[in-house]
Amino acid sequence: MNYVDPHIHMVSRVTDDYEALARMGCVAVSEPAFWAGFDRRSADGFRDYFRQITEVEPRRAAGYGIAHYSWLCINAKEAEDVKLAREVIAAIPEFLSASNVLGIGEIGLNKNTRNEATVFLEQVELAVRHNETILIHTPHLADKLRGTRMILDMLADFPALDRGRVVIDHVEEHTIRPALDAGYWAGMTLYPVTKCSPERACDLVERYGTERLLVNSAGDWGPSRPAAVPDFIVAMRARGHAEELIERMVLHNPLELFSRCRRYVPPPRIGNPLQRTTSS
Amino acid sequence: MTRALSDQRFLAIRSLVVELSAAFDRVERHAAEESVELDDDIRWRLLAEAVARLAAGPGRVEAVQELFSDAYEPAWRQTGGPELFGSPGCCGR
Ligand SMILES: [Zn+2]
Repeated sequence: MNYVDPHIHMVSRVTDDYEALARMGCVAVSEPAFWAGFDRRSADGFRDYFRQITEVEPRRAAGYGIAHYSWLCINAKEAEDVKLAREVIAAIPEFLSASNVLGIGEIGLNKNTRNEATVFLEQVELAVRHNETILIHTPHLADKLRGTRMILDMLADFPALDRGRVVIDHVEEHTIRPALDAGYWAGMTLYPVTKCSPERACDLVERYGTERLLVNSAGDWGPSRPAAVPDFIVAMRARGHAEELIERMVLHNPLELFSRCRRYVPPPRIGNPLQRTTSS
Repeated sequence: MTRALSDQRFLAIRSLVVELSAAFDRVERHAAEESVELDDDIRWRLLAEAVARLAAGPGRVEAVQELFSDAYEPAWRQTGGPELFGSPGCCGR
C-alpha cells in the first residue's frame, strides 16, 4: 500500500532506511525541524540545518522515488535560550520559499517552561504572519497532558487561526480528544516504548474515526522505528479494517494536510490521489 | 470467530499480564536483595496505583495515562508562579 510518513527525521537515518521505506510503499515523508541530539551554538548552525532539510534530504529521498517535505522552526528544547531562538526565528523567512517547505514546525513545549511558551507564541505569530501551516510537538511523558493543554490554551488566543492547518502531534489517549474537539489535526506517533503502539493507534482510530487523524513514526536518532507506519497498516489489516479506511489514514489524510500549504506539489510518483478518489 | 477475544488476542494479553507480573516480582526481589525501600519511591507507588486502576474497569487507559501525568491548572497564565512552569516529571529525565 502506498503511504506517507508525515513526521520522520531523515537527517538522523541512513540511506538504507530510504530504500527500506521505498520498498514498503512510502511515497512521501515530511521532516519537521527538531533537536538534533545536541544544542547548536548559533543561528548559522540552524541555517545549515535548514539547508540540509530543504536541499540535501529532498535529493537523497528522490533517489528512492520518495517526495521529501519539511517544516522549519526552532524546537522547544533549544528554545530555552530565548536570545538564540529569536535569531533563528528571524532567519526562518530566508527559507520559507523553498519548494519543499510545508510550514512552521515542530514548535511546541518540552518541559513546559516560561521560555518555551514565549518562543512557541512568537513562532505561532510568525506562522500567522506568513500564512503558514503549523506542526506542534507535545511533551513526552508526565508533562504531556499539562503541556498539551497549555498549547491549546495559547492557540485559543489566535481566533483567526485556521485550526484545519494546525497539527497537534504525539497525541495519546489522554490528549487526543481536546485536540480533535478544537478542530485541529492530531498525530499519533508509534514508538517502541513511549507514545503510542500500533495496537493503541488502531484503538484510537476505532474510537475517534479517521477525520483529521495522522499516524507517523517520528523516526530519529533515538529508539524509534522508521517502518512504524507499515506496522500500523499490518495491525489495522489484522483487525479486519477495510483497505480504503487504512489508505485514508496513511495516504489521503497526510496529503490532505500537506495540500493546505500553498507551495504544496503532490508526490511526483503518485500525483494527487485525493482527486482520483473524489472523481471515482 | 469473534474478534472481541480471539485466541490470538487472548495469547497476546496473557503474555502482557505475565510479563507485568514477572516485572513487579523482579523489582521486589531485587529491592529485597539490595535493601531498597520501594515504598519510598514515587515511581513504584505510581506503578502500584496503575495496576489498581487497571483492575477498575472501562476507561482504564485514560485513568492510567492521567495517573502518570503532571496536574494541569487551567488558570496557569493568570496565577503564574514558577510552580506552574517546568515539569517535575517522574522518570528522572
Ligand atoms: Zn519529531
